[in-house]
Amino acid sequence: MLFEAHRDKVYSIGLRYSGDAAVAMDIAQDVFLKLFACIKDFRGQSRFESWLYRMVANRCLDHQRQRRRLMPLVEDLLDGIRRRPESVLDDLLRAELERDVQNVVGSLPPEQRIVVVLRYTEGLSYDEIAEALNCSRGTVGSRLNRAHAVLERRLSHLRVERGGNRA
Amino acid sequence: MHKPEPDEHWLDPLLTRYLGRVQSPQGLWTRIEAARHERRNRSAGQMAWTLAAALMVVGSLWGVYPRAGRGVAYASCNSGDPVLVRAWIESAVGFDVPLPGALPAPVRLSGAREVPGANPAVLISYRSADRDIALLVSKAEQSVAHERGHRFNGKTSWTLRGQRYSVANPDDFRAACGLCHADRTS
Repeated sequence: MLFEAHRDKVYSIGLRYSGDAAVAMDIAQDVFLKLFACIKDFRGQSRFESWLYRMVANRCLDHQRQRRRLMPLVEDLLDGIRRRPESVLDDLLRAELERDVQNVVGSLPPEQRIVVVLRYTEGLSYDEIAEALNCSRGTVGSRLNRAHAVLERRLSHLRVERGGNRA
Repeated sequence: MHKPEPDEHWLDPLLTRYLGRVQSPQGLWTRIEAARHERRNRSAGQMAWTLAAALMVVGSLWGVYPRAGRGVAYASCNSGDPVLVRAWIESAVGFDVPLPGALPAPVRLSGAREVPGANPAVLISYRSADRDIALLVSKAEQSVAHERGHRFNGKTSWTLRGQRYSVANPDDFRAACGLCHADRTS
């Protein structure tokens, strides 16, 4: 089933792009509604995945970020309570680091942010990103370089020293 | 001068680890289904309204143009005789409109014509000097037998004996009053 095959992918891109579970749900919902409505228009001229990535990327770039953090916070709290106690501390630590990374990524300009998300959430190559965003490989490279410069500077406190245990 | 090279060995794994794919919530499908259902209902509703509007337009055109095309005007009575006009009104629309036998000068009765619509109505025409006065009479709602007159937007309306009267005469309100406040033929 189309939805089952791509649900995590679509939701993850929405989440990593927006940093907000509620917004990610909105994005995923919109993308799948559009997908179901437009699937008949898919001509097979490009790979289905590229077509889908383009749809998700466009939706992310269009989406006005909404500040709806109450429900995600409640859900995070409930998730923490449901888990076994020994895993909670690790999870909190990981969640804290993840939040750090997500915040810095969230501060990038939209065009750089979507490139970073497609690269690191989905592991796409430069060519695949270029196809999804309908731009050149060189544009992808320059956006990623600029994003890397910001991320290196602002995430330097998470840098792993040789033999260290961070990251 | 030594320029430090970016350490690519720490950023890539860090981003890969903390920006990785996550599992989507179980409720996502339910939400999408609900949105699809809502969208279908909304579009069905819009279609129903569009269809209704289209039917109204077609119905209006069908109702008006064939008559006009055949040159058939709505039934009318061109007469200054209040007895004749009163009898014609009763036969045309099915209710009695008492008309004054004498009108204050310079107002004079010039005729009446049927007004098409769901409720039977008649438009009684008067002439006052160089102006026309139109009195529209229709059946009032059953719950309203009498209602004091009021003026709105150049129109005076009142309800009497279960009939609604409206006079369109923005220029000569006094003459309009004379249409009813005069001797009646009956």
